[in-house]
Amino acid sequence: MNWFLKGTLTATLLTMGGVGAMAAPGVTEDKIVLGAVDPLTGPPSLLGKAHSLALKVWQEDVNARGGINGRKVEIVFEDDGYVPARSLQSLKKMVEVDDIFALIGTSGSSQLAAMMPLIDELGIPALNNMAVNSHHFNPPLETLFVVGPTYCQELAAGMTYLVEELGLKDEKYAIAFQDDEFGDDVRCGYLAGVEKYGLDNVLELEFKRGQKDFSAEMLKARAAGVTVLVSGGVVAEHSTLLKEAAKNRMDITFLGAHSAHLTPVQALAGSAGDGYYAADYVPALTSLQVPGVARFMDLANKYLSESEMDSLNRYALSGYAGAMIFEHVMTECGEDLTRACVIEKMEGLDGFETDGLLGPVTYGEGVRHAPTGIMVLQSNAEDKTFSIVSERMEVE
Amino acid sequence: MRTGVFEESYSELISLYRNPTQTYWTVALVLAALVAPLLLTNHLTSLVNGMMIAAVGVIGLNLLTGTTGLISFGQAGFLAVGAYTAAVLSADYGMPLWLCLPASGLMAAAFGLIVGIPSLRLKGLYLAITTMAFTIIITHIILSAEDITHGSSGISTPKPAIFGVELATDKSFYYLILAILTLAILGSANIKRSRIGRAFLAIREQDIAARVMGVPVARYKLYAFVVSSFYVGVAGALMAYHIRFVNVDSFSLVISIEAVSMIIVGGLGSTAGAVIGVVFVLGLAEVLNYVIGSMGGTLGSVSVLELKGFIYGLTIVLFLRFEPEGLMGIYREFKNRWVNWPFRY
Repeated sequence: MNWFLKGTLTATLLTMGGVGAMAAPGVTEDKIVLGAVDPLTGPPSLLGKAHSLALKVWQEDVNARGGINGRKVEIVFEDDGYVPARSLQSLKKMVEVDDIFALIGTSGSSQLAAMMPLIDELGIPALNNMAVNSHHFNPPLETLFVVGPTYCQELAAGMTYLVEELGLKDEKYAIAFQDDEFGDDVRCGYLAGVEKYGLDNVLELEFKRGQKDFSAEMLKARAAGVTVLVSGGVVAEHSTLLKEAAKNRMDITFLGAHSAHLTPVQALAGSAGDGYYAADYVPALTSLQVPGVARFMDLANKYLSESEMDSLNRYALSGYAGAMIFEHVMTECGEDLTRACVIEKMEGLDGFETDGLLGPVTYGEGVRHAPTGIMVLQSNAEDKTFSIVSERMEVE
Repeated sequence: MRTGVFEESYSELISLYRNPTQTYWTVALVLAALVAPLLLTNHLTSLVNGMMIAAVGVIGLNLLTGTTGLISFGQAGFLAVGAYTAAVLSADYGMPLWLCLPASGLMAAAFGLIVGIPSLRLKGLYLAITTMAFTIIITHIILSAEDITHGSSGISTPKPAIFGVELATDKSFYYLILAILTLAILGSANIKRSRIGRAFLAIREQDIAARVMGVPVARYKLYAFVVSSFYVGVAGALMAYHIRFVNVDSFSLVISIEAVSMIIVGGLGSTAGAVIGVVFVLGLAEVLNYVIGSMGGTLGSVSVLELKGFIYGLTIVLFLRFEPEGLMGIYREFKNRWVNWPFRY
């Protein structure tokens, strides 16, 4: 009897263990369900579509390679329209209806902030590779990992390039920044550069989000004799500032954050968009000398339609790099794929390489931000491309 | 067979329920609302919570625009005032929810009083533009008053709890929102059958005639703004607890435009219409999401995504073109046909 009881108990526990292992949300014997919340409609869909298409490319590719430890990957996409309330609703839907295992698309900065309490409560492994803000990792959440520098870190590196590589130390510097969290972060990097090199900060122009006319601001800049302008705009603001500078016949050096590394900025600026600089942590789509970019573009050509290819931009590369990180840690977990294991493996990443898409990615105990290195790109308006003009710089 | 409702006394004319059938339907609706979370999934409960919160605010707007005839595009601003009041008081000062809710309403009402003052001299499009400017000003104040509002970073609100009972889940929070929505509906219905409500209607129909009849127009216009803003402020507070994060991104002008479209689609001046309008407009977006999602269009084709916005807009435009009395107009017509059948009237 004793033998029978022990045997039954052992068998039950083993079965339960097996079931427990299989019972990780979104993981079945042959499938892993991942979720991505992205702005797919409205003006910010420029970001979301590119990001989602990269995830789609990765999904097709990883499944064609046999999946992750034999399990196919299925990504559920939700459009939040860049509205925080809808981001939260989307995540709730994905958790309950789609039963996702992890989140690999976290929309914008405020949108992620709205989802953070739920991510934390439910212990969902999540990777933010789209819009980095210090609130996302300070204080750190156990399951939320952030890759990429803050705008502050990006601009500080950009300023380093202007001074140390281009020798623009004795110029007249100015910044035009949006009156929100994004603008504040850009200004933080600008001021760090000003302080570090003792630069002549002649003008700080704050503008309202959505502002379309910068003629007054640029006239002020001309009157102040500005020769280097740092832009704290999102997309269209960069172009408008560049065009105003050209209209006023100002010979300025222009630096923006990674949001300036987009072809619509070049297109809107026209010839005025030639030669400006953008600080970014991923290369350009045309930087085919970078192995990660070359591989991604090959796969994109294979799996995306012509119109979808037109929607790609730098957010596709950051999304694909994020997917590579996730693939690595899920593969490392082996067949016993659990959320706890993914978090443990993420935490253990030390100098993980993404074939040049990002700098080395490192997390640690209580460290949930991997800023990776930053490079500076220059716009070539004529052929609508960007060229890498600096080495990858360490984040200070 | 009942052929109509005929009021024979003044008290019958202003009674909340005009006939027993209305009472039975109301009881059935309340019972259905009470058991709904037991049948709905968490996700659907969360969607219903969002709709009920919007309904509280839209009922307030309906009192202002539908009943009093004062067009306002400042609802996003009042919503922001309510949400930020609740978020600041709960997150930074640890005030309980039962104090934050009325405080948010009162704060928004105070702003409503200020915004209402121009309404004494302005009408129609001019008033609409003035109220729209209020939203822009509020956004600017929120971004500038960083010490209080945390600026553009936003504020995370604590889990809702009332008298020590945590309402952390959507299902438990549902009952609090339902209670507040019920109070909002009762409040609105009672205002409309009172002296104040009749004054509102008189102002809407012709404010000069109302003044001639002895209605103090200036005072009642301000009442309308204050009451409406109180409702929207409470909705903002509920929204802050529901999303548990507020920042200026959540209060765009689109919210004000959507709120006006909700009362037009539902039927201007009708409390039930306001609620139905919310369900229709927000429900339509969810249904389109579901249909397009099930067609595999969530990502695949960019044009399918654009189609969603097109269908959404077209439906509302067609509605306004062909049924200006809104869903309540359709309901009234259907009811008349049903009651009078086989006769036309």
